[in-house]
Amino acid sequence: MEFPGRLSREEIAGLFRLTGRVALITGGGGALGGAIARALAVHGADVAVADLRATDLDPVVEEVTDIGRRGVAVVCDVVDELQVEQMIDTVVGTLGRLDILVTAAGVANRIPFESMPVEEWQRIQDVNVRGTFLCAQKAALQMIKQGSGKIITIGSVRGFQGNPGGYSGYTTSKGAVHALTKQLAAELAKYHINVNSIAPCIFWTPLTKQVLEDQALYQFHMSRIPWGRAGVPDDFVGAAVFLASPASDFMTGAILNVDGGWLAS
Amino acid sequence: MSEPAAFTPEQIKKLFDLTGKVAVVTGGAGALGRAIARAYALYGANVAVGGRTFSKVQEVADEINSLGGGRAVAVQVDVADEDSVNGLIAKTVEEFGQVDIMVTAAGIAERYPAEQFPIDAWQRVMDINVRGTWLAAQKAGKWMIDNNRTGKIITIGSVRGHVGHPGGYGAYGTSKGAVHLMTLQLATEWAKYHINVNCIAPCIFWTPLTKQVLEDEKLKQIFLSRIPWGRAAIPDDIVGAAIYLAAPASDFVTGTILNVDGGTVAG
Repeated sequence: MEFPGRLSREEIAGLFRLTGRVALITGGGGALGGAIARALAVHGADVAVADLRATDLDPVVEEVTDIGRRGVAVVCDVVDELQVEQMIDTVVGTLGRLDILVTAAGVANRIPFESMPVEEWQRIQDVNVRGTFLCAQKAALQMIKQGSGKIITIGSVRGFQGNPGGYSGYTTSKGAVHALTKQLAAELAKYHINVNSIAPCIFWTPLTKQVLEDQALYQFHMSRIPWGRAGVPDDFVGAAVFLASPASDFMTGAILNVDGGWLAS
Repeated sequence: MSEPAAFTPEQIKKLFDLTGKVAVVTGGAGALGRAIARAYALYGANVAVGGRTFSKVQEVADEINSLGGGRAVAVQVDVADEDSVNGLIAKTVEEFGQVDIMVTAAGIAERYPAEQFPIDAWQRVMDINVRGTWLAAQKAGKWMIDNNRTGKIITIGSVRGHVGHPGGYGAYGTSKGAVHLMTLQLATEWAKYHINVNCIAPCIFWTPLTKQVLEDEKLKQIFLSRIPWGRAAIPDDIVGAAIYLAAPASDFVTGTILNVDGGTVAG
């Protein structure tokens, strides 16, 4: 084994550049997915966004094209295998390739465990776990043909810990996403496909607003975030660009917690 | 209880920009420290390169100054000595006016079977890797707090800080586990000052020192069998993480241990 060289100045300058790369973000119509789509476009990627409703996707595509990149909207239910296959085909068909997948499609519910209907619990597993599995699988098949790729799953601090608030569906699903990330990392390393996860703490969205405006729950969350505030979608885009780019080419199976110190304390 | 505003496109473009920042890198003459110092300068930071042997850190500073990015100054420092580390911070401020980023890349390793490990060798590893990291982080953090400034501290952990290994890492592994927890503790304490404290945990990477390990067939096989990516790292594999953790891209990240390890810990 020889002592390998080092990166040239040009390579170092280009570590975070996504020029020429195509990204697909599921849940692209949501708060986090939309923010990530925007940031990947600013850093040079062409971006496809997928979600249940075209109306949620159109503003994101408009912003991507405004930034100067190609943008495509794909309606897809990530729980449905055929739809996921068609989604990948559409992305490759219109944008030519697929280099980066961000599985930001996810749902949550909050019901005290003892009353949680199993169908509600199952629904969370379907979107968050099965959806991540299917999208990663179909994207990986394309990436294997291309010789490399980046898969970024969305985990959560709740994938590490239990907390009050009725999250038995969500927490289970995010623990599963973390484990799936590691398994895919181990299996796909031989194809030079990096698989990593971003694990956010709670962040402001139209849905979490309800949690963060509840006095008791807000106090609880603030007591666990040393940084002193909840996240906002843009807090996570740096991690997404980092994990999508050459800067992280040797990282795989990592779970990057972006959480204002939640897990550390 | 209101949400901060979203980034502007300008801010998004500059997520990884270090222009105007001052970084201190201990272990600056080592394989990892010098790679990080160089990368930081290429991203616009001025860098104080700290190390035990002045001529070696001067060599690193000279190379950086020939690149046309940020400037570098060489500083002699013994990281286990409190006065010396105070001097490193003072020299950095004297030269560049401030301290925004501290990377504690100074570290040593010694390998013996645990039952034979000489306590002096073990202690030496603790002194550089744990006490040295602590002092550098403390003095940098203190300067930031005293001067009412935010900043970023990046410690260097290791896969060895997560799990054991048959190669005699009783001192090194212990020291890196300590660095991991130190990172979480400092992150927790300094979050209120908006000082980010994070750790990069690499797997084995090529250096003039690890060459000996990586060219030993038996040890090499053990390492490779646990690195899904199929090779050991090189210092430049790690600089991307170092830039990310030093830059605005990671402003909400604190207390994280970023494994840059080709999948070692995951698999």
